[in-house]
Formats: sequence, structure tokens, C-alpha cells
Amino acid sequence: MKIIWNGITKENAIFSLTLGLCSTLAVTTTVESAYLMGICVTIVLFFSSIVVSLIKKIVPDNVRLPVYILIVGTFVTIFELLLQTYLPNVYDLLGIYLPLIVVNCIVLGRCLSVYSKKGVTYSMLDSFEIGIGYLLTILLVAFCREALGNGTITLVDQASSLFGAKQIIYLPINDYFPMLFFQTPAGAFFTLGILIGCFRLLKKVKK
Amino acid sequence: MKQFHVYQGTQIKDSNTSSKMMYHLVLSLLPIILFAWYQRGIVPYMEERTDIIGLFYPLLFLLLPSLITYLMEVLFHIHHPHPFKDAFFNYGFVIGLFLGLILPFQTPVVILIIASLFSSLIGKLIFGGFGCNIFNPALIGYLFVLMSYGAVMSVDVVSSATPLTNFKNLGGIGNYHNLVEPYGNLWNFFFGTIPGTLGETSGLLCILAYFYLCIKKVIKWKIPLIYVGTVFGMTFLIGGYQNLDIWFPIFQVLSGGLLFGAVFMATDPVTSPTTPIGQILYALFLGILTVFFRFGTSYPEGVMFSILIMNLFVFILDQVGSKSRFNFTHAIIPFFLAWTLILGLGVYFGLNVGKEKTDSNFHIISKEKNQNEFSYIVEQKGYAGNIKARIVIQNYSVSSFEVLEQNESYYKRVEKADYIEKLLENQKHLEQVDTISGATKTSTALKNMLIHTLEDYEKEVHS
Amino acid sequence: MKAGLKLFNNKKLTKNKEIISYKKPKYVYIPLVNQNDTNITPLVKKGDFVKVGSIVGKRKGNLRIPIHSSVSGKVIDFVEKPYLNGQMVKCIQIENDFEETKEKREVKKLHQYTKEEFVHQLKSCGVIGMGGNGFPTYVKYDQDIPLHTLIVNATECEPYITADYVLMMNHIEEILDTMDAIMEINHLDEVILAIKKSNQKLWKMIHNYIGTYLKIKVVFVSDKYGIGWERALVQEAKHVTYDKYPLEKGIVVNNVSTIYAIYQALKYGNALTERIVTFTGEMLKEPQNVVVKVGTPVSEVIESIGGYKRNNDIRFVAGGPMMGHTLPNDELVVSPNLNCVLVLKDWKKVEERPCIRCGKCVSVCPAKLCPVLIKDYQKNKRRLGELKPEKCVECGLCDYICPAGIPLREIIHSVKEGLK
Repeated sequence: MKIIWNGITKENAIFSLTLGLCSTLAVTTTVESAYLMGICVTIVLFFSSIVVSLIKKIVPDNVRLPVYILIVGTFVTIFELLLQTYLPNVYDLLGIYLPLIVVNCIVLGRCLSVYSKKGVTYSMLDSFEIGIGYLLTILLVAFCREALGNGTITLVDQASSLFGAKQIIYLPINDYFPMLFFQTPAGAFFTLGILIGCFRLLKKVKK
Repeated sequence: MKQFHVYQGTQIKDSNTSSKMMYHLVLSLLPIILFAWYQRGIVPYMEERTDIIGLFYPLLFLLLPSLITYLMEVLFHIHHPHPFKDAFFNYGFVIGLFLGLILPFQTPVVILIIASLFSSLIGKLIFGGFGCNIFNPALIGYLFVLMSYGAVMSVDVVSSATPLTNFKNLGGIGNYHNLVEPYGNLWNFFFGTIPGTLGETSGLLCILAYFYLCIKKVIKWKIPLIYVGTVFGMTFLIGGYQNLDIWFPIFQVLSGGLLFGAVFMATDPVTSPTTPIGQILYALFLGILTVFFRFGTSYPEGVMFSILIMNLFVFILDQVGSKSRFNFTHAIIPFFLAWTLILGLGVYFGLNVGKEKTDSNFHIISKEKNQNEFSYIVEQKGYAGNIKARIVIQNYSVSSFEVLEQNESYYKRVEKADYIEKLLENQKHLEQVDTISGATKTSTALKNMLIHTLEDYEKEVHS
Repeated sequence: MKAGLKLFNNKKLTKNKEIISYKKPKYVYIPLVNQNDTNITPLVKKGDFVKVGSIVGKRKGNLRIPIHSSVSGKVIDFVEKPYLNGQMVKCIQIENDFEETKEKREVKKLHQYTKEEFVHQLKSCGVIGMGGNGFPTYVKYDQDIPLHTLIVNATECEPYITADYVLMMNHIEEILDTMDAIMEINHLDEVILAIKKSNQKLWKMIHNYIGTYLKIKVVFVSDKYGIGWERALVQEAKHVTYDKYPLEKGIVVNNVSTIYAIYQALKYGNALTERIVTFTGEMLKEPQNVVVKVGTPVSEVIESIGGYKRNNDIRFVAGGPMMGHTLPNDELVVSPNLNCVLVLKDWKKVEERPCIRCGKCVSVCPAKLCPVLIKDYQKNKRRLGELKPEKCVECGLCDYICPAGIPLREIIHSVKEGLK
């Protein structure tokens, strides 16, 4: 439990380390795509961490980056093909940002800085904590953006083949409530900025 | 031994303090406020078009944002006490006043409150309060409202279209008959009996305010002069190429929020350059950007965007300005750029404006009219071939959009995103609809098809 | 002149009054300082007997200007007294025996000095710039570069001060004679007397005497504060710009009080021991121009002319209102570059508000600086290199005009000190 807490507070991928913001801003238009993306990143991170920490001794220093991209790319492609076959809706939903996990700074950054230096068990646990932290954070951002910008909370829509039925919560809307601003890219930056500010404020108050 | 107090600085000071400057600024706004009240409140009341609430509604429209921004500033100062900033004698209400003067009069009260909260918090306080903001706070609030509530705001309930929206609807060019005469003659523009927001209608009062503020040495006088001069010069060039007389630049200068924006918003001391050369460059580029937005894009009003964009460059302009105080060669490149853009854009728009933007990828295959209903079959080049669709428009609104033939590889993505429904929902402001990532060309083609069909429909109806 | 401002000059308080003298102080405290440099070697010790004009100290370094005693008497002690920039400096306390025994020096007729003798006389009489800075005057005439113009700065652009004005009204013949002599001694091409356009009374009086001196030209310069600055004056009078010193272009600029001190040195061999100081301000009972000896305690002089109107509610300023500094007490002693003692009403509270970035300081600076940007980048060395705060002359115009009451003069001064 303590491990996961570390991933959420001190080493939060988006709020503290501010990595992987590109995909954060893009997929948080609905809650569903956010948690699907989070799950994908966690899985890829998990497997890559195992492989990277296993082969860390035999990789020469000057080819580390291409080798790690290769490893992560392999896992992402496997994952992509699996999704395309069994869950084509999810594949369409995440669109271009699924292959972009290869160069997502969270995955590559963690590989270069942590997994290439620590043992297998440590890397596995670390990847798990970072992934869960990322998932929860991205859920929060998507919740804010979708609820304020669209007036809905999409729990299950495209992944309905996995869960069964569709499940979208509609919030009461009127002329003023869904502010289109939050669904735009500008609103994404804005929400992210405000949330990072609140997070840092909480950290300061806690001290 | 006697003991005296020791002070820093000079022992005589100019009597013009910042409180006095703000006081003169508010004083110069008073005629505009009174005129707006007269035009929107008293005159309709006299003509028995509104009741007693409608009589005082313009004042409420201006008072409410001022109150909210003033309270936000008080709260901020109580939370962050500063040795030299007074909590209760702050000038935060000026932002609210400006906001009330530039938002359209039919804005609902709730949106007014949200806009003033946003402009006060995000436009000013988050940067650190008075003196620290980068952007003009009132314009930030206006931008937020425009982006979030485009649908609500564009409903023309009571008032007719403003002169600039009329100008845009006619394709960006016209003659005296259809641009100016619907509103009277140019004197109506000067005195302010035309539709528009509360602050921007009366050109005369804005000019008088400018002279008053210059005499009292309150504002940076170079900026409005050069800004309006640039717009006048460029539109004169454009009008010249289109064989339009001197009335065209005068019309462009007097319509829209140009005079109000130039005198009050562009000269906001915190967000404009402090060096003389920086101010001149700022005003030149503001003029260029405004003309660009008015003629080169589909937005009717470019003042707000240009001011916000140039607010970003104030830092660089101050650097250029301070270096060129000692050695003018540092400022040669920006001036050269400005002059090229002025002449280049003037000539470009002069030659190309009003020409029909024919999209060669778009074809109308057939057009049928059935009483009020127009039924089009159109074709547009998509990603892997042509898309054929049937679009039915009735009473300015698209009632059905049916794709007949397509060969697109990623059409499924468009279907999954319910893109057609999205286009139909947002048909009043199609520019704001995003494309589908992964099926960009297909979704753009569908959007353009709808836009071009609507354009053709407008032309049919107006003729 | 483009920059600079027209200020309300308040000179009526002392302009039309006769000069009075206060030349009998019991003790004088000769400040051992020149141009803010306190590196002066004292050349007397306790108990020594000195005469009027005896050398009591000499400056170390390249500009070895001597400092003279202004009274005859016995050296009592070395004490610390306030100087006009607010710091305490070491002074030599001399007890006045009221004999006025003078140190003898060789003199010639004004026009018969050779250039070397002229420079030597100026150096040995300790003539320094009396317009405020105190630069040793002999150095300006001792250069290898050939000189062709002398500009005499009689503008006195700072408000309240009338010391130069009354000097000219009373001693114009001597001044014009000296100017003519300097021209002949140094083989100059022209001599210019620069006065303000609005000084019509002065011009009328000069007009009566200028006829005999055909080669002296009178030039009228703008009424703004800031024209008294050397660079602005040379630009306006001769339309010449220079890099560091006007000597580069063969021009010498001297204050008109300095010209009178040169007269005293050449004609009588008198060292620089006395000057006219304007005692003014609304808190003095009788504002006056007073001839005082160097080293006189200012409090004595104020008492002799009537004293303060009230004993509290006072702001005591050494120097003019724009470039002077407030002092915590009235223990100030007269130094050769003190031109005014200003006693004003106290301010009730200091209004300082945040900077609104109005840019007025930039538009008013005669040195073409940007004070608002220097204030913003106080800690940023790289940016300060571009902004060139070392060019600041501390005229105080940015401070005067700032609507937010920000002490810009002090801020730029501390930035300059930090960069040294």
C-alpha cells in the first residue's frame, strides 16, 4: 500500500515528474479513454521494466536508448495487435496515442533512470506504482475535463464489448453548464495547470 | 542634537500619482457609460419597449462585473497582504467595467458573472495581482466566454447584426450601399447610433477620451495613434485596390471595437511596452494583426485577438526598445518586418479579398429547390477518393446530411465518433469542430462539404 | 533637449535678496574628501598652526589635489562629520583665531599667465568643480589634446538653488574677465556662456558688460531640468556628442562658480576656501544666499540667518531637491561642492505603490536609460550589461516622475555600486 502511495504523491508521473503530458492532454476528453490509456501504459511499463532490468548488464552504454526503444516498441506492438483483434473499438478510440506510448517519456524515462540500474523485483514494483499513479491522475484530469466541458461522465462506451453494456452518466445541463472551453486543447492545458497547482499547494500545506 | 527623518529619492515629486491616473481613467469612461445607458436603457424606455428594469439594466450590466472583480481583489489582498497594496482602495473594479463594456449586450447574467470571476482570477490574480499580469484581464474573460459559450452568444435575439458581422457575411467586401447604408451614414458610426457592444459604438466619445487622457498624461499616447493610423493606412490601401473611396477606411476605423480597444485596452499600462520604440512597434503590429484578422480569417472582429497576441511579445519588444535607445540599428529588423507586412498584406488583401474561395475539390452535382427546402447532392475529395453526400437545408438549418458513396479507409472511425451528428449539432460554428485524429482527411472533407454547401445556400438566399 | 522636464523652480525665495556673509565661525571642520573619495593624506597634526590657504591634506592617487584650511588658527583634532551624501567623513577641526592670516602665493596679471603657470596655480589653489561633483579643475586644462572651446555652465537648472545666479549678478565683470583670460592663456577658439532662455533679467545685465568682450558668446539653452548635465549642455550648445569626456572633442565645461574660484586663484592667489551657499526652503524663517567658509557647521549659519520656523516637522536636505540627500541631523559642514541647504516640510507618509509600468521614467531620462527595466533586472548581470546602468548621472528625474513613488534613484545607485 505504501508503495502505491509513493507513486501517487512523491513520484506522481504527471504532477511531480511532469512526464508524458502529451498523451495526458490528448486522451482526457472522456473518462473512458483516460482509464483505458492508463491501463495500457501500466501494462507496457510493467513488461518493459522486467525485460530492461533483466538485460541491464549486457547492454553497452552508448546504445542504451535505441535498445530500450526497441524493447518498448516490441511490447507496444504486441499489445496493439492484440487490441486490434479482440477490442477493435478500444483500438479506434485511443487512435494514434497507442503507438505513441513507445516514446512516452514516462516509460523511456523510467527505463533509463531506474530500471537499468535496479533489480527485477524493484523494477516490477516501481513500474506498478508509477502506472497506478498515472492511471489515477489521468482519471482525475479526465473527470474534470469531461464533467465541466461536456456534462457527461463516460464510464463504459467503446469498451462495451469487454464489460457488457454501455454506461454513461449524464449530468444535468443547462445553457451555462457545459463550458466548451474545457474540451478544447487550451482547456486541457488549463485544467492540467490548475490541478498541478492544487497538488503542489496540498504538498506545501502538508509539510 | 536635532533628529530629522531620512527619506530616499528626490525631495520633490510630481503630483501625478497612480491613484490620480486611475481616477482620470474612470472619469474618461463616464461619458461612454452614460451614453450606453442612454442608448440601451433610456431610449427604449421612452419608446416603451422595455419596463423599469430594462431602464436600469445597462447600469446593472456594468455594475455587476465591477463589483465581482472588486470583491475578488479584496479577498486576494486579505489573503496575501502586501506592504504597499491597499486591500480596500484597490482598482480591481476597472477590469469589471471594461468587461461589461466589451461583452455583447445580450449576454446572460450568469455568463457575465462567470466571465468576471474568470478574468479576475485567471487574468490577473494568479499572476500575482496588480502590476504582474501579462495579459489584459478583461480580454481574457472575453476570450473565455467566446470559446465556451459560442452557441449561446451567437443567438441574435433582439438586436440586428453588428456592422462587422454584416461585413463578414457579405464576403469581406462590399460597397457603400450595403456596408454603411443599412445603419444610416458614417455620422451614425461616429456618434454611436449603431448596434454593437456597450463601449465600442461611440467613436466620438472614445476620441474625446483619448484627448482628455493625453492632456492629463495618463496613457501611452503613441499606441492608439499609431494603431488606428496603421489600420487606416492598410484599409486605405485595400480600398484603393478595390476602387473604394475614402469612406471605406473611415468605416473600418469607426466600426467594431477598434477605437475603444485602441484607447483603453491596448494602452493598459501593465501589459504594454515601457520603451518608446517598443510602443511604436507594438502599435504597428497590432494594426497589422487586426487587419489580418478582419480580412484574412472568418472572424469579424480582430481587435481582441491582436491585443492578446501582442501581449505575449511585450517582453521582446521591451528588449528591442531598451537596446535601441543606445544604438538604433537593433530596431531596424523589426521595423523592416513591420513595413513589409503592412505593404504586403495591404496589397494581398486588396487584390484577393472578395474573390470567391473556390475549393477545387468540391463540386455541386445537383441542386433542387422545393419551396423553402434546398436539396443538394455534393461531392468532395476525401482521403482515398470522392465522397458523395446528400444535404438538405431548410430555413438556414441543415436538416439531414446523408453520405451516399465513400471509399475511405478509416471511415469507421468517423462513424464511431458520430461525427455527422456532431457536425449537425454544431452547424452554427463549424470552424470550432475538431477533426477525428486518425481520420483527419476524411473528417475535414465532410466538414468542408457542409461548409461549402452552406455558403452556396447563403448565396442563393441572398440573391 | 528632448528628455528632461520643466520643473516648478521655487527660486523666488532667494533670487532677489542680497548676499550676506557668515565668515566668523569659531571652529571649522575641513572635510578630507574629494569627489566622494576619502583617500586623503592629512599633512598636519594636532597642535599645528595653519593660515588661510595652507595645505592641510592631499589626495592620493592620480589626481593629487590639495585640500586647504579656510581659517587661520590651531589644529585641534580629527573628528567625523556628515558629508553631503549622507556618509560620515574625517574632518580636521581647526580653531579660528580670527586673524585671517593668509598663505602667500605668487600672482600675475590675469592675461599674463602661461599655460603651465595657469595649471600650476589652479592645482596649488585646489580649485575643484563647484557645480556638485568636485572634479579637480586643473586636470581639464592639463591634457595633451588641443582645446578649442570653453563652455561656462550658468544654467543652474535645479529648483530652489540661486547661488550661481546671485554670483553672476554681483560679480559679472570678474567672471567675464576670467573667461577672456582663460581663452587667451589656453589659445581657445571660442568661449560660450550658457544661460537659460527664461533668465531675461540676467541676460539684460550681462548685455551691459558683454560688449567689451567681443569674443564671448552667450547661448540660450532650454528651460528644462537636465540641461545642466554636461553631456546635454554640450549637445545643445555645440551640437557635439562625445564618448566619455568632452575633452575628446576639445571642449572644456566649467561651472560659473568654478570660474569665479579660478579668478580668485589667479588674481589674488586665494585657495578655494569659501563659496556661496543657498539656504532656502519653506521651513527657514529667512531664506538667503550666504557666503560661507569651507568647514563651517551649517547649523551655525542657519541660526545666524534666523533659524527654523519650527523645530520639528522638518526635512533637512544637503544639495538641491532633485540630487540632494536627506540627513538625519544638521551637523553637516560646508564642503566646496555644497551648493544648497534645503529645509523643507516633513512628508506625512511615504506613498509607495507597485510599479504600473507606465514608462514615464523611460521617456524622461536624459541619459537614455530604462529605469523600469533596471529595477526589474536588478539581480541579472547579463541583462544589466545591455541596460548600461553605469551611464546614470543620478539626476533624479525618474524618481520625480514615477507615479508609484518607487525610489528609482536609490535603486539604480545600489545597482551601480553592486556592479563595481
